[in-house]
Amino acid sequence: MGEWSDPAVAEAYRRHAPRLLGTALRLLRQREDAEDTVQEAFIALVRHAPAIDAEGAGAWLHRVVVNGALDRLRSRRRWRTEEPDEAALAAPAGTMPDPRALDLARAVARLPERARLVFLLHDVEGLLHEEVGAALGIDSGTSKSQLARARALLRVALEGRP
Amino acid sequence: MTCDGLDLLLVSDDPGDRAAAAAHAVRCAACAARLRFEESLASRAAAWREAGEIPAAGYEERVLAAARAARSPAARGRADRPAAGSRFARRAARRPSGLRVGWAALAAAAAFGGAMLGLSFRGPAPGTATGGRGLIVADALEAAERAEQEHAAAIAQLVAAAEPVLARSSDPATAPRDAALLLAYRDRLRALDRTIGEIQGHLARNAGNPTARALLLAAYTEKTDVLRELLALGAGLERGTS
Repeated sequence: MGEWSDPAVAEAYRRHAPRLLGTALRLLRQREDAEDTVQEAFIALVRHAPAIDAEGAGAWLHRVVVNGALDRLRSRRRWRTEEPDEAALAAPAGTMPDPRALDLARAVARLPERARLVFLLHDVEGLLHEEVGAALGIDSGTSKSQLARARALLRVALEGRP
Repeated sequence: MTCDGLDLLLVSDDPGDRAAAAAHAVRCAACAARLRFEESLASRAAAWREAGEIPAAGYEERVLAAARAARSPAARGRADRPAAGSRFARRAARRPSGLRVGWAALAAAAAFGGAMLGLSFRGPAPGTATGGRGLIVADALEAAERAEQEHAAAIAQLVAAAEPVLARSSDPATAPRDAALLLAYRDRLRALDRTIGEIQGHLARNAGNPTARALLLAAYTEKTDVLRELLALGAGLERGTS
């Protein structure tokens, strides 16, 4: 694929945008930032990824969105300019058909921030511990211990037992 | 293995460790319950991942327009390089302060919001024009809408060019004062986008309202100016002279 044509970008948008928005909103908990992050990923696709084909675009866009969202979180911590949307905290994903997944989303929203991010990146977004560590600036051992902590807290929240 | 080692196996990326945990759980009721929870958690996480999020109305058009503009090197070049002596270049010479940007955004939002409150009392309802006057109004509306579409397309190109500049706010190499200024520009653009959306919403219900048309044009002009200021700031940061 030499260049992303308008129809190819539109098709990629239709196939991947809802899931990418879900990823960005899970991490950022702020809708405007999530929308901006996904938009930047599509701009990066047409500017920097002519060699990516339609089949590989989903995984490529997902990685760009994860990195972009983490950049924004770092920026937020640096400047403390924005707070998460209360609505996003109360109902983290608007199209969730599975009530068990909605319970999980609510429980995850109450986790300590580092455990929340490690759980989201590893268990929901599918990154390996080494990738989580690189993304968050921690070593893979810390990623594992934070994941164990997150799962233990979620078990208490979802099943009422440690 | 013992029950104490289960935690390490369950958080491992190695499939062999998961298999070892499953083999242990066959002989241990407590660990079997733990394993069932882990499997249930993985299933919930997968459902959450697949659920996705419905994009807001107009978001698809915004993303596709930005992507289209980003692909055009000619458009990027025009946006990145203001003509010497232009109003843009002059604005670039006088660097705005973050405080001014913030207050200007508030003032713009308040001015437009106040104006919008009065809109419902002015302007003809759709379909009230008759005969020859109706044709003139229809022609004028078509011309206004065409001009607005061209304005919006041009702004989309500027927005695409400004994205990398705004992204520098999260770059650790950006000086704190510059990063704060970039964030102020981003907030100002968002306030203008909300204003434009409100006016467009009103025009969707009352296309012939001349006040709303004038406000939309003013909002587009304001956004163009803000984007130009931002691009000039970005050029200054590139040169290290900001």
